[in-house]
Formats: sequence, C-alpha cells, structure tokens
Amino acid sequence: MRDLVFVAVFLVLCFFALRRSYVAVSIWLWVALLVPPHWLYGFAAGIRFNVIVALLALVSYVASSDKPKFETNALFWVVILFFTQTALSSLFAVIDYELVFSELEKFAKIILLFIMICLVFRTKNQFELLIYAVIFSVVLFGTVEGLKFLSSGGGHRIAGPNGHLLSDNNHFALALAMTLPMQAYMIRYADNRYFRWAMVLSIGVCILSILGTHSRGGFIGLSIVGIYFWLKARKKVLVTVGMMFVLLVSSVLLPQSWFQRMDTFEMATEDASFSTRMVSWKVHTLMALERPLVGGGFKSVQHGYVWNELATDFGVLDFIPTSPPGTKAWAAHSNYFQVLGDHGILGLFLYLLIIFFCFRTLQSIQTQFRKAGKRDCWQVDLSKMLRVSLVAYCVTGAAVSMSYFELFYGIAGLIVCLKISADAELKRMVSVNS
Amino acid sequence: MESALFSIGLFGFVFVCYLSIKKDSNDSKKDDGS
Repeated sequence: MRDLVFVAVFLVLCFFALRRSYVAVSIWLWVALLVPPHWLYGFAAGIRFNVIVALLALVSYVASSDKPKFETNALFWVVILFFTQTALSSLFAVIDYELVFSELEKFAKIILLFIMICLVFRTKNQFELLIYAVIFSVVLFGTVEGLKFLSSGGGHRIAGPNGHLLSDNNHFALALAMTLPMQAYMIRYADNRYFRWAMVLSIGVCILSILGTHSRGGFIGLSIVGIYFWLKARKKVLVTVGMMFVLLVSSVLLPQSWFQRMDTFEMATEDASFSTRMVSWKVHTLMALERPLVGGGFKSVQHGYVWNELATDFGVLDFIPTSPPGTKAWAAHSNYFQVLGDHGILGLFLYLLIIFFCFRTLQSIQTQFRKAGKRDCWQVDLSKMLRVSLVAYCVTGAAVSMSYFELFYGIAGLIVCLKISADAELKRMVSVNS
Repeated sequence: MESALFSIGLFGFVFVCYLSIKKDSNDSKKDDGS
C-alpha cells in the first residue's frame, strides 16, 4: 500500500517537475534526502527515483523558456575545482578503479545537483521550496524517529534511514542539527500559520531525536545551534521557557547510559572511540604526506592493505601520542581528515576554501544589506540561518565523515544563488532610489 | 503511526510544490504586468 501511495505521489511530482525546473531540482534534493528504499518494502523499493527525477530536472531546464541568466561567483568555481580534484585523485587512486569510480559517480551526482541549483534558483519562493524539500525529508524522518523515542519512553535508539550516509546515528544527528535553523526560518516566513506551528513542534521533536541518537557530536552541534538562537532571539524569555521544557522532557526520557556517554567528554583522550579517531586521523595524514597532490582516492585508507602499508610509517607522527595503529582499517571519522586522506593536501585546501567562501559570501550578503539600510529582510535572515547550519556542519563534522553530504553542497548551491539574488535586489534598490 | 506520518509528509510536500508553482505563476504575471 505504501509503495502504491508513494508511486502515485511521485507521478504527481513528476508532472510538477515538468512545469518548473526549480520544482524538479527541489524534488531531486527531496528524493536524495528522503531515501525512498528505506520507507518502501514492495515493488517500488527497487525503482531509482533519483535517476528519474534528475533526468526530469535536466529536461525541464533545457525545455524551459525563461531560464535565469547564467551567473556564477567564486564559491561556484571552487566547488567545481574541488570536484575536478576528486576526479583527478580517482584517476591516480591507490585502490581498485571500480571501487573509487563508484564513489566518484555518487559524488558527481551531488555536484550535478549543486550545478542545477546554481542554474535555476533566484527568488524567495524558489529558495523556500528547496528548504521545504529538506524539511519534508530529513525533518520528517527526524520527527517520526523522535515520536517513536517519545512513545517508547526513551527506549528507542535513533539512527537515520538505511542504505544512506545518514544511517549512522552520528551522521543523522548532524543532519538534524543542520536543519534546525531552516525550520526556524520557516517559522518566521511560512505563509500558513498551521505550518508555522508544525515547525515549532517539529523543532522540539527533532531536538529529542538528536539527543536520542546518543551522538556526542550531535549534542555539540545541537548546543551550538541552541546557544546561537538564544543569543539572537528577540523573545528570550519565550525561547528560554521552550528550551527548558525540551530539556525537562529529555531528562525524563533519556536513560542513564546517555548521561554516562556525555560524561566521557571530560576524559575524551582516554576514551576508546576518541583514541580510534586519533589513530585514523594519523593514518589519513600519512596518506596525504605520501601523496600531497592527489591523496589515495575515495575511501582508499579504509582498505586493510593500504592502511597496513601506511601504518609502517606510523612513527613519523610519534610526537602526537596515540595507541598503535593495529591491523583493522577505520574510516576517517572527520570531514577534514577524510578529504585529506582521499584527495591529499590540495584536496583539503580546496574543501576548506569552499567552507571559507560559504561564510564569506553569507557575510557579504549581510554587510551589503546593512549598508543599504535594510537589516530586516528575508535575504539577511536566510543568510544568518544558513550560517548556523554551516557552523553546526563544520564543528560537528570534525568528528564524522560527511564531506560528501548532499545537504552541504545543497546549502553551498543555495548560497551561490542567494548572493546572485541579493546582488540583483540591491541593484534594483539603487536604481529605484536614484 | 509511521505510515500516517509518512503519508502526511508525502502529501505535505506535494501541497507545498503546488503552492509554490501557483505563487511562481502569480509572480510572473505581476512581473509581466509591471
């Protein structure tokens, strides 16, 4: 039954996709983050909805008569450069080409989505649909899991959708923390008041979901977002009461093991999980030192023979005390070390440059509007919210391997478009005033 | 509960897509008029 309903809904969405290319791209992001195979069990589970909607988006864009002018900025080109670097590192990979190219193919689809976002989105209405795509995928899943957590009295252990990067509890917690600012934006800007109230409730349930993942990184991300909102909130008393209520419910629901896990922050260096991370970061660094321009290729260090070969030079980084590398290969457990191992020092430089340009572009949008005497407008609010999402991604991302996460590149695309749209709006304001 | 919320999510997304297209059409008409 669920399969039938989904296919019926998808057909309606395909019709919408053909009418407007920005709707097609939003559906593309929605499908990418919703992970239909997780929800479906019957005949529809094997259908590649993302391929269908990607093709529809391309057709819709090509056929569209009112395409926005092709405009780019530095951030767009840095992302393209980073992708080129990942393609080069795949060509010179130290592991089997088949394994590397399957990862490159996945990343190429994400970059294609990023390019499509940059080509199509220009207006507030369009930006908001892209945010809705995130809300009706990641937030929907977070709400379902949060309600399960509530109804089980805190017994339900939360993780993301199966068969996706988000299936890991830490990854899912980070993704949810990134969506909180977007939900806050929609509380202010959604036209429908019922939807605004739904967002207020979903924020509370998503906070519970983040706590229910038992992820320490997620807790840090949540704290960052929470502190930011409290500092920036106009109605501090209301926000404080809301936060206290969620904390009270959480303290009742969360088991003792959760508090014990969070207590390990104080003795992180003695923690086994942290110790494994340190070892993995060192081995990924060794790969970058050996191949600074191209790294080892996607996920190369995670292969036992590559790990063991690098481990022979483990003593080079002895000035950082860690336990011995062992023979089992580990994932990077950090965005930065993942890119460092996969694509070398040059790859990490470009990845950091993407993050830098994201923040710089958002800051420049806020500065431009402030200078124009327009502090309170949707462009400024959206840029502030995207900045909080990025801060959560960058800080929590230090302990999870999510450097190829769709939502990050989706946000980068949104920032490219927001800057183009803001520049056009400011030009219009100047021409009206003069 | 899961199926119900999933359905609400699906139809909710269809609804916002519909509203967005409607709004986009209205905005385009306004632009053409001005």
